[in-house]
Amino acid sequence: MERFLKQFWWKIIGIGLLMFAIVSGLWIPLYQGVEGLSFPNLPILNESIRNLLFHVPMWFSMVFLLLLSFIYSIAYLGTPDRMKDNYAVGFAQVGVLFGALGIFTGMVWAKSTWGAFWTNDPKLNGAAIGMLIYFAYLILRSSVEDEMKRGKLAASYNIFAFNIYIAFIFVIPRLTDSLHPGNGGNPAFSSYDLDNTLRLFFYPASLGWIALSMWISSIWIRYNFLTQEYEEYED
Amino acid sequence: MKNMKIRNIFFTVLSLIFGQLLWAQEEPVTAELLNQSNKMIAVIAVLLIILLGITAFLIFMEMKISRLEDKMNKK
Repeated sequence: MERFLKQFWWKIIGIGLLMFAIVSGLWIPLYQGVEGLSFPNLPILNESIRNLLFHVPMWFSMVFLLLLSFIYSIAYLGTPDRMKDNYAVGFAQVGVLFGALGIFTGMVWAKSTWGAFWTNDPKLNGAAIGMLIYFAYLILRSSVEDEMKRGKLAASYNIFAFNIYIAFIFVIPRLTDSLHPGNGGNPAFSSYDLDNTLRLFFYPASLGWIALSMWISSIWIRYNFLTQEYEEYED
Repeated sequence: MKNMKIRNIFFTVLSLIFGQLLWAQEEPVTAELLNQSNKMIAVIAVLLIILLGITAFLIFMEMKISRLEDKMNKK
């Protein structure tokens, strides 16, 4: 993992994909009855459908980073190692950042389609509670002095936090009424408006956002590790 | 000086947030109008500049961290 995070090729590809997504996402017109490259022109969504290339990939990035954090927490409990703990907390911190960006882009989208920045939607409330669970994880970490104890406590908490978060944003919204596509009996995006043109830009955008989130995480993790090593060296 | 810097950052972030709040899709033809007046090019250019700025910052940080890692390994 360490070697992969230091490599440059995937970072360049990721930025390229993001540029492609930004330019195409804003440039390509909505379908106006004329043949050619166009995004679906749907009532309610209208021009806001372009946000699909920003909001959803940000959530994908968040879930991806939190999954990595979860895996490193399990690995840490197996064989405690400072680097694994660093990976777990670094991925979680950047994951929370992307979660906040996802919530923010979602709020803007909700205002234009549902008429309010925040609605009483189980997915929105679940995401907000999930964020609070991860804030608690970060506060819990900073409240324990002993490194070993902190690592084990945080890793155990993180395993539960990830599972609860997944239940909050993927399971519960499907069991009850929800405004989100694919939840509470609503048709999913892919079944009615994620057409092949949109797919052509949506998947590269998702990969681009994931690559950017990984790049930020790698720098953040390496920076934290260096700080720790330096502090120890100073002592 | 430090307070001034923090204040500047705070107000920049605040203005960015409220700038977003002002955006509303009253008419579904917003992008069409922007396209007709070529303002969409400006929007795309600004977004690309922001992305390139983030990329440049990440590359700068990457190089700096790599240098520090090498230094630390030598010690």
